[in-house]
Amino acid sequence: MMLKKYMASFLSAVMLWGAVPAFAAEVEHPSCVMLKFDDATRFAKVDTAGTLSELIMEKLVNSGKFNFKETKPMETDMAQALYENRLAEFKANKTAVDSGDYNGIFESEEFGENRVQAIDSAMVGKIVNPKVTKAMGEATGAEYLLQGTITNIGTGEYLNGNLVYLAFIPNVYNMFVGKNKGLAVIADVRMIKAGTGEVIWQDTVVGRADQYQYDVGLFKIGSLKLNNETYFKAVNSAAEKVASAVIEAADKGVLFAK
Amino acid sequence: MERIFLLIMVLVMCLTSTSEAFSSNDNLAVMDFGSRPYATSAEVRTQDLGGAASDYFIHALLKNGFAVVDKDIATDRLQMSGISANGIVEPDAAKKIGEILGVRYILYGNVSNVSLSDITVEVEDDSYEGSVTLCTVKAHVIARIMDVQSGNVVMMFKGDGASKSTYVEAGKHGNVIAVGSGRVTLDSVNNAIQKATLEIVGKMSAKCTESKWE
Repeated sequence: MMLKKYMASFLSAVMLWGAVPAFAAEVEHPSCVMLKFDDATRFAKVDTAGTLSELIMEKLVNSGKFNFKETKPMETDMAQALYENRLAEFKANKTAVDSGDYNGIFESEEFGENRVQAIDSAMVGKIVNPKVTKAMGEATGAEYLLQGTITNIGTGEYLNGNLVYLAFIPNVYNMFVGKNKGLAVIADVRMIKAGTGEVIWQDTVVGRADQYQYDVGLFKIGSLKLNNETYFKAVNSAAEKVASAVIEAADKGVLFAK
Repeated sequence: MERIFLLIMVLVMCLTSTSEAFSSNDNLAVMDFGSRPYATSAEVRTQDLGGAASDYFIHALLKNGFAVVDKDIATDRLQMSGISANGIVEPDAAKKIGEILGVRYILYGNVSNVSLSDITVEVEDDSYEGSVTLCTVKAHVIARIMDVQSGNVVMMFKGDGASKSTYVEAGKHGNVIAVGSGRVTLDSVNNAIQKATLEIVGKMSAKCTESKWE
């Protein structure tokens, strides 16, 4: 009888030892949802926002520090959801204007100075409409929403200074010139607490990829032609910077602080 | 005493069932991969990049000892349920897919980008001209594994694949001889996608092995 008891205790202990860490790991990581980025550039049709969101999520999932929920219900981006919500507010306000009673408008929460009027300008401490964020959180079961805006995509060409400096021997200057042509993606990213709509963290990153060409006498090596690969590298570079910034903020305890 | 023991056992089983650790023994269904709009540049004209990626995934997963459930055996039932299994799959649709196919995990995602890039060495003088071009078709695929019960993304990997070809041009006074091809062929695109899927399955295997030993 005693042996049975010990066996049972031992088995329970062994099984708990194996199962609890897995359970604890789940509880430990805050649940997040990666909202599709908003693209404020004139290249929105290219869907850089979709690619960037996917690349950031891949890096964050692999960090093992976040518990990500699938994002499909959020394909309607937050800018659109906020716009629709504000449209409803304006309609309600019109009724107040028609009746001549403006108090309802000026005293409403939406008129508060803390309240974000457009997601592109949402800074830390500001409140994004909680009705929208709460609905998004509930739809996915996530506590935190990671959202961003692509603010610029552009190209630039320049001489590579380092290589020009290396050509210090007389008459070699004109024979050894390096040129870069780069493509850059600039994005703002922010973490929003779904329950309250509060922006708890925000950062701006620049991701860049370059094409190189070197002129050495009669030879030309490389190409300055920008292609789809340069574009993807720039988006991936922006994603790496966003992911590093989010992980760094999580490690410092800036994110998810109770 | 027996009751307490039973209670502990039930508790342990509940805790174990909530664990999301995906292993190579778990049944996995591969969905149809999608492709991002403008994923390919003008010189890469191919169709159904996603379909090719799905097939290469199934091949690589089976080769690496994963338990793969064929989604195509239930195509009719999936269609009748109005479920889209292309590209990114919604958690609600994923749940239904899981029920129909009897799987807890699904693999899905997108071919993010397929492009042609080149590195050229050119020589030009008054009397002669020539160039050597190394053309590379690169493919980038992003795959996710979702636990259909919780909607959690339990694994997500990016795979990169490249297929290279060389093109040489040389001549004098406008008479040029060309050797090789700088054109993008269907073979080179498929080759790049296959390498990208192999890289992802390799990462999945490594992660499963790592989880086993943790």
